[in-house]
Amino acid sequence: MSDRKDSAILSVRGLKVHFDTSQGVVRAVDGVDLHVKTGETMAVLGESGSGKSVMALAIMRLVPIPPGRIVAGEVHFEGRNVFQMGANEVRRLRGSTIAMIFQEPMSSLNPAFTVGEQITEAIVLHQGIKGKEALDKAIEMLKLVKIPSPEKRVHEYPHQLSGGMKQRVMIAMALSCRPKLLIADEPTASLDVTIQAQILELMKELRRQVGTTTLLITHSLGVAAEMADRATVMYAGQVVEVAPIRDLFHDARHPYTKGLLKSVVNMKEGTRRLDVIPGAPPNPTRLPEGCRFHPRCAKADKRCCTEEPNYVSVGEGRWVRCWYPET
Amino acid sequence: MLRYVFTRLIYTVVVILGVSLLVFVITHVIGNPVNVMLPLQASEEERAQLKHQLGLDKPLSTQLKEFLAGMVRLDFGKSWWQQEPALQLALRRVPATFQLVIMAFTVAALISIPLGIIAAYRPGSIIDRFLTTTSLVGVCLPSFWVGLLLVITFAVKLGWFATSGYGTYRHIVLPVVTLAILPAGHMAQIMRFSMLDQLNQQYVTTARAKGLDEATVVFKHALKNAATAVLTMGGMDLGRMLAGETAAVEMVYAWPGFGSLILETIARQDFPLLQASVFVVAVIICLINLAVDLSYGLFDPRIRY
Repeated sequence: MSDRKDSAILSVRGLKVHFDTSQGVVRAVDGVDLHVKTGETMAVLGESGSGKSVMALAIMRLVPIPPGRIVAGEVHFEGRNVFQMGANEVRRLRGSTIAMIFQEPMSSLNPAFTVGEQITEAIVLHQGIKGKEALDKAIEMLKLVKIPSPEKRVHEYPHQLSGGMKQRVMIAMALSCRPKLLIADEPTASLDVTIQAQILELMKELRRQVGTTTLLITHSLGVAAEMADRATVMYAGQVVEVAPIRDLFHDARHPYTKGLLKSVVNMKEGTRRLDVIPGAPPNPTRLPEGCRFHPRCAKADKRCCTEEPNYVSVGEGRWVRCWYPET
Repeated sequence: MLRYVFTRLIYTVVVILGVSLLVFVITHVIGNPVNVMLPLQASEEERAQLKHQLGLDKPLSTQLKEFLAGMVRLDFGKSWWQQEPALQLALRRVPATFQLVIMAFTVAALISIPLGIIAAYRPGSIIDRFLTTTSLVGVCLPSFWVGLLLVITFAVKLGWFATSGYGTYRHIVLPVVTLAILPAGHMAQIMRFSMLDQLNQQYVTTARAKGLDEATVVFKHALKNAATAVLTMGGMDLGRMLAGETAAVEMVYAWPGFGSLILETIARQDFPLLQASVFVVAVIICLINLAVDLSYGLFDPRIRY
């Protein structure tokens, strides 16, 4: 996976993040490689517990330690190793160069401070402007994310806003310092469908206007198809497939990705029972030997049960972690 | 807001009336001040005479009417033992108790709140385990017993402080420490618990993701949300200290506050002074509760009055 290192704004290499729990060591992220090119939107696809959110937190060094541990790996942002930065340097990066939006807009904003106070906080910190000027900037950001009467809303508290409005505020906050990389962790998962569409539309429009590189973490194939240029599929803490988004939908190679695609409703094919991937994701404290997916894979043979596959190139910019990528 | 304060003040009047009635009924039904005031060998005539003098021979309903009529004018009559207006006597004892309670509360808050925050920031650390254990012990220790232990150790054996009395630092340190133990334990526990809860909230991660330093994350973002719980506990403790804890501590250290006054008047069955003291305590506690309830709005914008 070395061919795109040069153009990558963000490179995650061999990242392992483990958590010590009373049930044992949870290998949440267990050898993840990820390369995001400047200007693109990279989707990270995976079901709950596949380690995608932990990976996102690790990029910003926000994994709580303890119980978390960064066991191995590097995160390079614009060529600099984030894991080797001092605490102050990382803080300067957070919010200004790399910004993050979270899944739960309801709980992601502090209930005790006004929207304006929370947006201006980052502006004051990273851009050195204060008072009225910072507030004007906050209002401008609220306008950008299409919040009606922003001059009034800026003085309101989170509980006075709807879920969709809160997520707009989160986006405004994240974009307020013009970050180079935006990490959006399930930005629409907790919103209802119409609001979801509005937020996705807003994010697309902002991407056209601002041109921020985006790492979009989602479990929804629909959201990935709508938003992303490329996708990385994660399973049980590992990357199983990387492909441009069109290739992924038309010609997925990993059995897990194929299974995911088959489990989506497709009205064109008429009514049929949805396919499901048999079994359940493995217990993260007792991951299977060999290929992590083998207990649920129809094509698994002896080798899959004992030996862990490595990445195999299967075409231009396409990688898959499987012993039988051609079938 | 003004409407809320007004309604609450009306409730306060009702509460104080209720408390006063309760005290009136209990004292007049089970009390017998004449026996306390006269020597054992006093004759029946002398007893009847004193009873008449104190107005205790009138029907209970008449006595109640007179008491209520007086209370409306803030007149509780003269103390039977000291022959001075009861309310004045009670109010005169307020500053000493306030001095003790406010100092003890400040000491308790200054120690317990920072410790609670530190413990919550590093759960399971040595400081956290130390605090969890000591605060539990602090909450469980009866203050009169702690008071006696402190007197024996620091006043009698070491001679650092006075055993009892009022005036200099030598007198005030031990009662303040004794009184501070319970609220310090409470507030440390609540602070730790509440802070631990807030630090696990998603908005804390948001704050860190903005690039804020840990001090701002903890002391600005999390503390403002954690404050209401401590405020509730602090308010309750302040009330509990004024109404009960001080009585024991003031007795141990012979501190001239109204805690010891109430105990003395109960022992002497000095009804007017007892009524006046209870009235004063009730008013103070109601005002503290009102102040606590009003200050919630400062920390939590979701609360409206």
